Amino acid sequence: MKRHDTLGTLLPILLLALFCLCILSVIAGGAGIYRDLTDAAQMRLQEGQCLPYVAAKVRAFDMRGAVSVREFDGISALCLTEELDGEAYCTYIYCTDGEVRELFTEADAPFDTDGGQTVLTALSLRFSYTDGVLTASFVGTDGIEQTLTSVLRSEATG
Amino acid sequence: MRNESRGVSFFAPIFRLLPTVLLFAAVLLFAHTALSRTEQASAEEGRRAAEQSLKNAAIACYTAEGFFPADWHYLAEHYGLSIDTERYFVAYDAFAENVMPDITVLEVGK
Repeated sequence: MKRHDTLGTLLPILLLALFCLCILSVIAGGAGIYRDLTDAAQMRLQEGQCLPYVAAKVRAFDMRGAVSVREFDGISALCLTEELDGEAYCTYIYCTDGEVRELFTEADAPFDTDGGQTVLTALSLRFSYTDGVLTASFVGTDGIEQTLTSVLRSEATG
Repeated sequence: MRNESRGVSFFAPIFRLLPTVLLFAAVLLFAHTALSRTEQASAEEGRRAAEQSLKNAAIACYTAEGFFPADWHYLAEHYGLSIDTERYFVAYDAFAENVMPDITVLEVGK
């Protein structure tokens, strides 16, 4: 009789505990799914902006000798040079550790891979420059490769 | 003999209910802790989303208009952003129009 009484008292509590656990599991699961969906959407939005962003940068620096491509320890970097108050500065755009980064520094300063500011996420971004034609190859986290080819008017008109 | 039986009968119901009360308190404590952690994680997620939205808008602005704005309010006005300024503080450091600004979003009070 005593055991029956104890069980009768404990059972509602145990049911309440199970109910709380189920609710919290649903909340946690739903939050996780929502976060994954928003992260994926953000990533696609970001990666879709990469090549247009590079194209806009190149257009802004489309002056003779301002655009070049350099290689630093296997990292392909687009170098956009400008002169400010008599000093030469370079904006490097490169990809490292899954991130497209931008580094603004003095033209003769050493290239610091970790010094750039993160702009976007990417698997890889490589540049090549030949006879006034800049080619940028971008691979997003989905593994799809996109290519941008830009003809510099400053080099073409001579 | 009477006094002893009276003492035993007084505490007996309390001892019988004690495990139930403790279990109930444990369930409430667990639920409260879990909900608090969920709230903290949600706040951090909101902060991260706000920061990322600002960065995306800055990149979109440069791509479309050719410059990074001096103030993040320009991005909020022209690129459809809505940042809860009572909850978040935006540290927007624009060095130049053609250099990506340093954007950090912090929770107010933290």
